[in-house]
Amino acid sequence: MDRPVIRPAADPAARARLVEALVATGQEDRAAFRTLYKLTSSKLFGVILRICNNRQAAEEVLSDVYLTIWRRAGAFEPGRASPISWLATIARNRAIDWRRATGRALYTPLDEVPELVDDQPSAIDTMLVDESERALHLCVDLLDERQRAAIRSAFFDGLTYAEIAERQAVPLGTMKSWVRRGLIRLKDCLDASE
Amino acid sequence: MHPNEEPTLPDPDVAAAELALGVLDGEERAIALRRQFADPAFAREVQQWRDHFATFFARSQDRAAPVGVAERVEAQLDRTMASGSARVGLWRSFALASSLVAATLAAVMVVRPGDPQTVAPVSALEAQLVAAMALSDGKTAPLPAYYDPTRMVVRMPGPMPIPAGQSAQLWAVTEGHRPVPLGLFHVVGNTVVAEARTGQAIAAGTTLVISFEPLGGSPTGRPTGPFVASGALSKI
Repeated sequence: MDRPVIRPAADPAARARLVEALVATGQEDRAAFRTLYKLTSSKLFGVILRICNNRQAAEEVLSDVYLTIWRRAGAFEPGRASPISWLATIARNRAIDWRRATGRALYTPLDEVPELVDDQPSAIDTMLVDESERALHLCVDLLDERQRAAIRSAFFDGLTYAEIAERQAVPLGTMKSWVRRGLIRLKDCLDASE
Repeated sequence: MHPNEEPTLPDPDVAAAELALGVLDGEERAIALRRQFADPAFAREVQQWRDHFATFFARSQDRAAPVGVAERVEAQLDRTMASGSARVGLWRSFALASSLVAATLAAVMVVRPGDPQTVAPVSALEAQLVAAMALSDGKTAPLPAYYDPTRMVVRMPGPMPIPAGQSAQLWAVTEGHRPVPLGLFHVVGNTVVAEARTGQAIAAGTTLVISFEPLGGSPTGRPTGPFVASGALSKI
């Protein structure tokens, strides 16, 4: 799959193509489903692999996610949801399902998780960031490093307080305190930016 | 989930964010969930936080999908469509059923919204149980939910107003036990149907509960979304 063209800001045409592919997939259009896969599979595989931390499992979850998308696409409402958030949420939930069902990858120390270095934001990324979503990112950047790391780990790795605390080898109460203070600051910042 | 049980939290706003982020477990999670069921404003706040956090996906790293996945997914769709159902594979993917049971369920539940097909006639009406599902909005009259132990499904009259980006999940609750997750509701003709398969037949007296969950159902095996209806099963 070709690397999407890198752009400094969102490409409305890219978003329109994604919405169109998703809506047509909901009408059981196989060509549109293929387009949807090409546009989104790297993003979704990244989400899944981070949570599963196991390539073979992530591959199986990815298959399952696209079968789910095929079936659920008819329920997508273009006016109400961001297409990539809708798709990525399905991927995240499936991956967390897998991880909790198997109990795997819970105790991998963070520094043993391969760092997934990306070169540049993809077209999908700029689409997301531009969808009136800059506020959260700006607010997250105001957090101190520990708060930010813990919140990001909860989201990207699909971890609970207890799991993050164990991974980072800090007491549970300390971890909760970091995250709660971070969430309070996020809330204040988000409220101020509205 | 009763307002009287509403817990005192030092900062409910943070509890909404914590629930949306998925960091809570155990009793803290249960408390937040009860709050979410009981308090629509809190439930809305949870959804707002979910939307906020979803923007993090922009910062997740893309990884090229393994070669062959697209082909396998398509082959799976070809097989299921060739067998007369685009949905069999999905049910198989839940990895719960023997293929026979999966095929039976799929035959009942595969149709999409708008299809003229309706649920097949029930063979043994007398074996069914029914629950009057009281809706949590307190305004709408209760709706019947029929449990068919032969097909292991629960049917209700449609349409069900499921919020965008969510699924309606069925749960079985018995006194003193955690809710048992059952299937997600799908439109079948003018009804909605959910798989209700557990290790054993669901007995009269069991309470059915419906909650709104993230797409694909609760990621945790416990209810995470607002309770929208509940009712106890009894014999017809």
